Amino acid sequence: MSAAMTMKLVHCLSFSAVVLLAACACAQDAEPDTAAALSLDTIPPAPVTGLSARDYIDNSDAGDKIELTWALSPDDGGGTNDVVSYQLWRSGGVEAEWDSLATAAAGETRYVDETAEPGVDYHYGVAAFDGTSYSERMSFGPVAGRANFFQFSRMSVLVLMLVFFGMVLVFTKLAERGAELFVRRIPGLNAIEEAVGRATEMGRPVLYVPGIGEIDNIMTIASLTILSHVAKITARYETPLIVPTARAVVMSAAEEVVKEAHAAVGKPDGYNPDNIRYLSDAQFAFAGAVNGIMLREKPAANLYMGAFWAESLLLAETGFEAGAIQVAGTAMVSQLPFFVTACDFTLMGEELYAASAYLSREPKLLGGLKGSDWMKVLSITIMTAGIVLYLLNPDNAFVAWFASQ
Amino acid sequence: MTFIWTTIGALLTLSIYSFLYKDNPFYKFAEHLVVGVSAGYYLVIYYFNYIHPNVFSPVFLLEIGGEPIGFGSFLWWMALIPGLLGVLLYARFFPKIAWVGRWALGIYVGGYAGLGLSPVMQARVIEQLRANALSIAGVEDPFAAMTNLALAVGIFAAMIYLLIAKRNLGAKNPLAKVGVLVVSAVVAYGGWLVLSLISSAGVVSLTNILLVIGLLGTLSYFFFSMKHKGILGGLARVGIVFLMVGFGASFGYTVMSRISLLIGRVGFLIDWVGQIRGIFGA
Repeated sequence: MSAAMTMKLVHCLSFSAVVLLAACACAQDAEPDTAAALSLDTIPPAPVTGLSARDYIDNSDAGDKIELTWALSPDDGGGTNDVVSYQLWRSGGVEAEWDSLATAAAGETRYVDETAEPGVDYHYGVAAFDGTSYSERMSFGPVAGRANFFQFSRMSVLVLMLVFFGMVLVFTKLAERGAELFVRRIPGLNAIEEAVGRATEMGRPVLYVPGIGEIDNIMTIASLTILSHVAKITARYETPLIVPTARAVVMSAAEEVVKEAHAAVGKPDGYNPDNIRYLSDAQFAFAGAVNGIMLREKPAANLYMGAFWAESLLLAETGFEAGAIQVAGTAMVSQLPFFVTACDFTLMGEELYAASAYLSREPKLLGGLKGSDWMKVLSITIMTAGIVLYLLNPDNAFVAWFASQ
Repeated sequence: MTFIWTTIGALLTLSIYSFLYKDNPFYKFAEHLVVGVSAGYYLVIYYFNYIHPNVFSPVFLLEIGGEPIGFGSFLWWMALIPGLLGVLLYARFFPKIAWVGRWALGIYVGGYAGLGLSPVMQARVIEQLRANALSIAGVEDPFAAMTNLALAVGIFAAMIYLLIAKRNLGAKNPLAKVGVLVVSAVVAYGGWLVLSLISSAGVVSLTNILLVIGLLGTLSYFFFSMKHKGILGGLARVGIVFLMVGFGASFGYTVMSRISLLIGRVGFLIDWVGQIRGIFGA
């Protein structure tokens, strides 16, 4: 190698060294923190302290939540101040493997695990992370989630139920002691008596459909009370009463009711068990069979009382075509329009229950009716108070509590 | 084979539709067929969906959903006791012990009512109270909110007054009819205009106000402890108007869905006719 070439090489190396040094200097001027960070990357952050895990009890959970708390790593907000997040792990036991659970941001000291199996023991681990390396993992356990005995978020439900039960009990006791509890006459009840009277005059039967609900349906129970009233009238007038049912248990209950009604008016021999019929559990098969009864046995009065679904219009329309006087009663909001349209009178919603209380004067039914009446007054009061308080101050504490219910 | 079943389905459909003309042997046949078939069908369904998995399998085969359970274990008893209660229902066939069946009914009805009480109170009472107690303002500005409330009270009072006035004048009095229509329209338009001017949320607010008025009126209609006279009578009449508007909307909606069912069935018949034409090369 010639001396000239050697000199060129030295110049090039020197120039390269100068450029590199200049570049390094520029880099240091521009991002001194990055360089400092790079120099600290090899040192993991200090671990968290005071890790603790417990069954989450602040929100009435079903035992699937465990709350973790810890004190910040000394390098989070102090020290080298390079913690960017906290990594959380969970394991099913001391010997079990750690599963990644979640990541909490720097500055966070709490996390709620909402994926725990109720009653299963877990171990939890937490480590600080500085973007490159993790601190020593601190662990805590075992801890298990337990379902809370009392759900505090449903406190309002309990309070309202207690108030309601209290009112029902008070009115029931009053009724039992013979107090005169006023219940206004419901127009539809007069219609029932008119309908039965008309059937008697025409010498044709009365058809009473207690809906297709099961015996546990409150509408079916209310319907059987009204059936008792209707059966007494038909028994007195010796008018045939046909009761088609869609449920076997309802049929047996209807048999008892009609039989007792005949005995109550002194005409037990007038009871005809063949008129209390089980047709079918299938909704439209039942509707088809009742339609057939309407056309073949030609009842002059059709009474539909109870729980009805899509068959309501089929029944009411056929009854209308057959020329029968029709009275319906149901609390199925979706079916009320059809009865209102196709029937002569309709007991709407709670009128069905009110009718059974009015007719039977049974203290428990009267107590329930009066209790629910005053519950409505209470509801209107609460609603009005909520509206006024909200208008005065949307941030009102009562409003905030109410919104959380 | 598919064509045969399709044909049976189509003929039964036509038999049921023949009811639209009048009761006839075809309809009677279809009606009795569906009642009889459904009785047998439901017997099988009830056994395999309820009795076998919930009673027979745990009590006699000692397994629930394929998982084994111990004889005399908690789950075994939890299957046996309801099963026995179900058997008690058949006591009604023996008059001397028929009363035993009431135990099962009592537990059934009581348990159902107890379990349903809390969700019903939450979903049907608390939720409605909450939704209606907070929504009437529709705006955050307290001044606008108070104005809305004043307007709401005004509309409400006007409706009650008009209904009472209509009753006093007589429903057939032309003056009452025209007066109610004109004043209602003015009040409604004025209310909407004022609310729109007050805030952009005015229309929303009007909707919310109507919602609350409807709820108050409807609750009043279902109040049975007093006669519907005076203010309560007016409120109840407002309630019944809201109820009927709601029923009308629901009726129209359901008629639409029934029409779509009819279209589906007619489509099935047209397909069937198409199949016949295909077979006979028409």
